[in-house]
Amino acid sequence: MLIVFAHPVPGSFGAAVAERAAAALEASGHEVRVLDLYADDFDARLSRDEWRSRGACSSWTYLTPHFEALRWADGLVFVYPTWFGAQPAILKGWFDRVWGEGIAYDVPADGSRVRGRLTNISSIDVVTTHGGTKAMNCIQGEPGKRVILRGMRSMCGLRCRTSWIAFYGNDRATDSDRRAFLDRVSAVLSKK
Amino acid sequence: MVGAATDGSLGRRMRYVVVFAHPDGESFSGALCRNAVDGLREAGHHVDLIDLYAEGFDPRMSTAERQAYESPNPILSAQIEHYADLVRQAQGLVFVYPTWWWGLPAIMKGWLERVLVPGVSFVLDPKTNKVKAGLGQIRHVVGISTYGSSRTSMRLFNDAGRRNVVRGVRVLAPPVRCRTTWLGMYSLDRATAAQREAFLSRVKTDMRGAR
Repeated sequence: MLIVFAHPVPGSFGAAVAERAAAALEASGHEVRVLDLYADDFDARLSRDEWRSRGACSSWTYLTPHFEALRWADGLVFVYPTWFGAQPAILKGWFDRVWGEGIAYDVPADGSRVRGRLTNISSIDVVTTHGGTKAMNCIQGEPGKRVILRGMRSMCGLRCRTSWIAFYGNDRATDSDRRAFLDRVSAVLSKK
Repeated sequence: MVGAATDGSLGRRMRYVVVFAHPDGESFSGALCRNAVDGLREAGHHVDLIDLYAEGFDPRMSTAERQAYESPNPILSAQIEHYADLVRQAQGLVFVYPTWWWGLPAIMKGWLERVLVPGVSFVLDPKTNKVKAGLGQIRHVVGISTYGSSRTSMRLFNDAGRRNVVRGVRVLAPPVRCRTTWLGMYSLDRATAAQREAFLSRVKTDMRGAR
């Protein structure tokens, strides 16, 4: 299981959520790798050279560990705070740069539809915290939820299962609300 | 909305901030951005252009910024303060970008996160911790984007980038007095030169009519 984690503050609630997720998956016997984008100082910007050579991104050797992690994984677990309705820029940039042609998908020569390559990935779980309420996120159109559960999923196996484990109202939450959410993360992920 | 003023001018002048996100200025998106800026200037508006890649903008909210986010001073750098000032003075916001993975390029998503902080785009009520809209000065929000996918496919998957702009940003502006304009070029990879030209001139014409 590959955990892709994005939060800038060590020791934050977001970091605690990621630790719980990793512990729950390990306890149920999975091999777990954690990709901590902030700790790795991952640059979120697809550069001009990358843009111009985007059809040949598998030759960008400096991203090889990321490509290999994607191929290695049977399941992806995203852990991040929802900002402005969607993934933090550093995680969006990971999609922009790592999920390239020849890695995440192929473009058939006959010009037909893009074909997903990540058939090794049979599950996607998203664990995310929202400062605001669910109602506010609905007004914003839940863009982050759709990008992963509809968009990125379409590059994975046909039977790829998804789950959405979300904490709403973090701005007004109490410590016991947060503890209850951590327990929910453990409960859901230890069943995998 | 308001028709042409009786003196024949196009109406009141506004200040527009155009935020552009594409790594390659020679791309089709670059041409769209130039046309948008030209159109707005021809209409007499003042335009501040923010070219995120050219300005070396780092979209990642830093540890210190996240820790200061709910404090009275969430802005920690001169660059962000400059962008926030432009937004405070603006009546129009224009976003020009390619849609990648149904969303905004990371560099633009991070601009929203780092610049539209409490005190600039919204206020967190200290008593209730509820968000109150803070972009009261904004009268017009515009999105101009290119898509590799077709319009139908975007409908199916949902256009997260568009929602970030016309809902996420728009919800912080006045409910009635702020208009939105969406200009999308779909199936760009299969578009003919004539279709591209047509879209380029549509962007210029529509921005010339902006008020």
